[in-house]
Amino acid sequence: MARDPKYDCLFEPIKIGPKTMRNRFYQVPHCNGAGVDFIATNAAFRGMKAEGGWGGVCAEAISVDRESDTDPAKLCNIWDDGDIQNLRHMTDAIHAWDSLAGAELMHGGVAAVNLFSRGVTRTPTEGTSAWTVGSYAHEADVDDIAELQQIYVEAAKRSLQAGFDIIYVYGSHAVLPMQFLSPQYNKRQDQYGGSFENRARFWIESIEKVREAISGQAALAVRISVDQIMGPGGVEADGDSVRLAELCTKHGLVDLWDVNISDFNEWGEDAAPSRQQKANHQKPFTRFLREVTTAPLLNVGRVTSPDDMAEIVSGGQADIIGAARPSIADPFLPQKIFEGRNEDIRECIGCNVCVSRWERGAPLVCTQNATSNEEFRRGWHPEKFEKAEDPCSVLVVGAGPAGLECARVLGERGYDVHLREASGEVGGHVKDVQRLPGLAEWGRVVSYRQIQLDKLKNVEVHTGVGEMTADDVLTYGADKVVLATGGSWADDGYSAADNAPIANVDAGEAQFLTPEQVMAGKAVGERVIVLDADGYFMGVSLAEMLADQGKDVTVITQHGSVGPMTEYTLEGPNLHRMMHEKGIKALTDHWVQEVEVGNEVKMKVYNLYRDGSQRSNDPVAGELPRKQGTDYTELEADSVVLVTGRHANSGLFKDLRARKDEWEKNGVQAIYQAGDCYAPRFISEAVFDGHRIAREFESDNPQRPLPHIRERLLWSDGSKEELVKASNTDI
Amino acid sequence: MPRDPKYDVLFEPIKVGPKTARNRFWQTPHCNGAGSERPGTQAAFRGMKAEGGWGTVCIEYTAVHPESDDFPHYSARLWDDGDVINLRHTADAVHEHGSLAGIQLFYAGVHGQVGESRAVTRAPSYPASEALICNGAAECDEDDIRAIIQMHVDASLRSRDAGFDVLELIASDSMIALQFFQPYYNKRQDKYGGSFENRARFWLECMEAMKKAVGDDCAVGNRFSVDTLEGPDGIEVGDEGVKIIELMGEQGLCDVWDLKVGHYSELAGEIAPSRFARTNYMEPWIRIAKQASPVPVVTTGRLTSPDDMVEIINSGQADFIGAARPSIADPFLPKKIEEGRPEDIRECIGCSVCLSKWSKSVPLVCTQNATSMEEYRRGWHPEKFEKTKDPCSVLVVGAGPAGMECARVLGMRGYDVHLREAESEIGGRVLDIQRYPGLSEWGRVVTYRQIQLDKLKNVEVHTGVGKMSADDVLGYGADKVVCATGSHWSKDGVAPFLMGPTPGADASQPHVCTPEQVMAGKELGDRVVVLDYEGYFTGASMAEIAAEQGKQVTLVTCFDFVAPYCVLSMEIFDLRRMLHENKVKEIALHGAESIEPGKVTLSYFFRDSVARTSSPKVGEPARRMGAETTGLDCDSVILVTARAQNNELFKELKALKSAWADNDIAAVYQVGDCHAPRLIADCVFDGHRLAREFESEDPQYPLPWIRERQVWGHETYPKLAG
Repeated sequence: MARDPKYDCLFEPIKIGPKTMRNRFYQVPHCNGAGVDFIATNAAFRGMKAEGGWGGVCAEAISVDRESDTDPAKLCNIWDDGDIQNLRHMTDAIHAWDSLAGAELMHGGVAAVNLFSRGVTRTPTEGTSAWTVGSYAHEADVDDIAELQQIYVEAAKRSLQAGFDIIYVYGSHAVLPMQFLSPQYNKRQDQYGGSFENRARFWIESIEKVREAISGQAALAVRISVDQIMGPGGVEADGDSVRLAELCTKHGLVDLWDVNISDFNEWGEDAAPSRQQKANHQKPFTRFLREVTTAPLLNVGRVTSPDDMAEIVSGGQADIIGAARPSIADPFLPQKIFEGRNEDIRECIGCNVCVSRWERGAPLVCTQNATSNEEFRRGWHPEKFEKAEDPCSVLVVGAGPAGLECARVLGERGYDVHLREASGEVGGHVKDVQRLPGLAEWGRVVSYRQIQLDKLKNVEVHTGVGEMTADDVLTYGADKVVLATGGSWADDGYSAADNAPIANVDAGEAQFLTPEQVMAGKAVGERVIVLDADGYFMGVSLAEMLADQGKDVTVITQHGSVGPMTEYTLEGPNLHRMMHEKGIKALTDHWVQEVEVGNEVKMKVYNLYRDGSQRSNDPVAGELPRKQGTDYTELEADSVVLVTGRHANSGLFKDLRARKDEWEKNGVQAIYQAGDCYAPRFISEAVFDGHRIAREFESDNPQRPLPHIRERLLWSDGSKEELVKASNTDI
Repeated sequence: MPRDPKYDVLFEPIKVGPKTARNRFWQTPHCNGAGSERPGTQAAFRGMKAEGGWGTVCIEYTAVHPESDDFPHYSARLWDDGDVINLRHTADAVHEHGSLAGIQLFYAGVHGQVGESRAVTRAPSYPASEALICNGAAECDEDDIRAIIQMHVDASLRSRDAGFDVLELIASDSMIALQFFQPYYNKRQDKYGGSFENRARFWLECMEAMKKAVGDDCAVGNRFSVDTLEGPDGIEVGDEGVKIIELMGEQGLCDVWDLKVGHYSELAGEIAPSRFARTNYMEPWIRIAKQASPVPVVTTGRLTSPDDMVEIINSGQADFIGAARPSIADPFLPKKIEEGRPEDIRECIGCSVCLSKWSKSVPLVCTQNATSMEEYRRGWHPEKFEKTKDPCSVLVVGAGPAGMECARVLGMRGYDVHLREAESEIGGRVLDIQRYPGLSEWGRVVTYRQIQLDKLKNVEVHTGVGKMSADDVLGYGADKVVCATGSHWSKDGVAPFLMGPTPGADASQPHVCTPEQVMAGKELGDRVVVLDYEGYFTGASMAEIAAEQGKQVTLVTCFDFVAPYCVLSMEIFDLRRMLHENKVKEIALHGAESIEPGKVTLSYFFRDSVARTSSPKVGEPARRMGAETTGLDCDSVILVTARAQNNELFKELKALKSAWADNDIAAVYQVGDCHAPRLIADCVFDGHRLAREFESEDPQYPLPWIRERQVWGHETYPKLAG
């Protein structure tokens, strides 16, 4: 289908300072965990976006100096010749598709933790970051300020050498320039503090110096959080941020405005999860800057709809569509619009599992896009699939995330696939998850795959076929079988908290409910306890759902906070607010000691730290080697929801495994397991599992991954000399 | 002084399987964050210990397969030939000094994070880790068990090829062998579950296969938690702990037992902080286990005293003195005993800041030993110092951790140093900290340096000289000056989240105290509120001190729970047990809005609305602000809110910069907390680094170091198929 002309505005070139960008799609700087140390991974990752049509592609934030290192959360660095060499490889990969490469130069100020470099960071005012327990920054005097600005200049020069087209003086998320601008951080009384002009001085001077250094060879961009979302104490939209933009515009200092909101302490206001903010959520804040600037402007807000994008550009909200997460979920989003096949866009679901990985110091993964960060190390292309030389028939049992993805990729590869689902609809446990408060967009995991499967002539999807038995599978007539039968919540309180069921707990009784039973409408009493040993979204979501129904809800968890995983996905702060608003009570660091079931459930819960702090020095078998605590708290409830642990639905595989000797005579060559039925994990991992097995379907044993390329230094006698040189040192 | 012959026993060689260890010092496997990806750093770090006299030096836990990937925590790996190339370099560095190179093979089972590989880890039964969030594993069938054993065989062969002499299977920290062995993890009903024999089967088969593969060339042993300290729910030394040692003995499957106690979710059982456990804290358990072992036994327990070590060998507690943290704090501990100078030993203080870095997935640092992990990247040797070519005079102002270390290293380098301390004793803030409950060993930061400074003829230490003014410094006659004037706790309750003082907080009033004031004896009322916005040891220590005085204590923290940094250092379990025992009430995610006599008013951090405005206006918050507060009646408030640098002297000197030349002062630098308040480890490092780089263009800022990384254009391993 030809492209609707209304989208043409998205493909008009635009001048950004001395450069011209080929269209209006711009991948804003975002982390992927590769940095400069895994440079081939990073270059392949960014190059794929350029190939997919993003006219501007940025590296993640690039640290300007050794005194601003954020390890273990990885950024790029541009500290020395080795970094120039590595980053050049990335810009080459972006330029290969005629896209512009952007370098977001960052000094973290108080946000730099320096756990790798052991350097000391500098800031406008002495202070500690909420990110860094027990670590303070050095308050910069005017000599320090001159040095800091020179650090930006040197980094900008290196960026030019590395081939970047757009060079940022980055101040969003309250990194150093914003720490000067924001009265929240800046308490100085000299010419760099106090009045707006003084607080803006550091940033303006830095921009001027960088502009001079790059002297027209690259565009100069500013990324600014127009509102820290911290109220009148911080920078506010229509306040200091607008005045800074006015000043820059008056003096013609900036070629590109990259606009967002938030502070690093709560950057979930920017990279907002879908459960808390919908697409284009930053529009109310970013419009003010538009009114006072003349240079091209872009903003973000997890925009995935081509119509929204056309509206943003033609309606004047922005000149360019900025995206981080939508470009991860679908590197080919622009190309798909260009080719008039919007329905093929793999939309971001806003789960922020990508962010969670960076927060934990691990490489990014994406729920929707299993090939993300695998472009180099496994050689996967999100849109290209190697055709099978021997397209045998494959039965995929179960159409949850793993089964859907496995069938899709096998289909793309030319296999003859039957995907069979017991229930009336495809989607597996996502069908429940998407009905949890705020999680509707997670249903895109299913809808994207449903559309793709519909297009594949060689894939048949059979729903409502009921649970298959081993006999059904063996006699089905498929050459190979992939089981993707999912996981189930334990019905007996079994959890990782104590690796055992809880006595007297049984979801066969009216008082106890598994999450599936809650979603299926089993009656819930007025006073509800949610037992959450899981620590991710399910416990807190069910608590919210039941509180919305007017129930009196208490969450019990052995973790130190409710939903600790949601701190990594940036959902945490607003989930805490939600619980507070809805009156949901929580008892953390507690677990179940005893349950008594009558008309109501009586539960004794204990503090995990109730035992003695001193260890016995006289070990006796059968005794705890410290004073055993006995105190507990007693609670009563009408219903108990068991978000305790998940089990693999591995029964079918076990049955088939026991009859392995019958496989051959039934023409079954192999049986594999993908997703939760193999091991219950995140949705992203189930999708990845299904994808990987399909990609590696001809390997010796697709159940086990093929080795991936590991980017690392290999020791040789010459290693040290080479590294000394690349590190610009003389040890 | 020659060595006392009583220590000779520590230097007797001993056979371990087919190998002979040259002495009784055994650096047990411990992490440093270098893994097999930073081969130069790793080799220099381990090689330094071999040079310092450790007869056996082990690398950290080494993953046998991508399924056992612990990333983002750093382990070593033996997944492929590239790892063999890299680890060979470490084995070579250890062999260079006649020591044995050891390796510890692990398969993580339920505790595998697979953060890099995205593989699926396998386990005997229930697929989730109690120690990690949402960490799932697959349940093994018998094919899987054979596959996992084969991974151990492959990794054993690679270990041998990389040059390792001693292989330890990790049967501790709740890794795979223990997951099969322990009924807590193993719920199987086949021949690998149920009875003692069945639960031991995987482990025995794995040892047998490893021994068959490499037993002629390498010693094959076990790192074993002989008691998981969980009582009847875990492994107990008096029961199956000893039984398995006997069984392996009968079958001749184990060449050495490297023993410890504890389990994965509470590693502090083994890696105990000095705050809660004294030296040789595993003794009762190890003694029982040793009786059952026909082969040499290694014991650990943060042993730093040569006399204790001798006693351990002579009394038959163990055959080897195992050490992780003491060998980090002093890689030359054995050599110092050998040379008869035990007073030079830089003893571990048991703060476990080393461990906190591993928990945080960054390279290890050590409070006592600033050169740790800097051997390769900065070229530092813990015992060797480049003599200065220009031994000018240096005035160091302030004898806290940074000043002491700076003076020591400048002294070793031949400078003419005056170290001047306002107070009558050296030590700075450590003088207070070592008097906190359980932290007396932290005083070793001071005692070690005092002994070393006493030995240096070119360093004068002047105590009790009072605060120096800028004029004092300018007129002192030194060529260069290092300010190390430390920090103090905010007296007005400066809070990081307020970036300003707390209304009503004023430590000059009787009802408000700083930690310094508490230590100086300022009286506390009956009901005490500790405001802890630091999140490390001070807040909990203040609560403990107040509780010990019989006060009713509430510990308020802005974090999710009290002392989050102690999660990383693994002090958290006993720390929170201690608070519970002392009936300290904990209030998390709160901050003080105001303090007044008799009352603290708290607010909850997340009291504002979820909903955000869609029409932002200057001067109006972006969300509906909550207003509710909690009032706490109290008689005293202790402010553990923020530290402030004592930088007045430096600022004055800087303002007088034009007068430096007239006074023949070439430069003035700042180190430690007066530059930026940080961990003690960072202050010691600061002082050390400045002294090492004293002749650089601007020693205030570090010289570049070697960054170990792939530089684009070089090969990766394996190459991409196709």
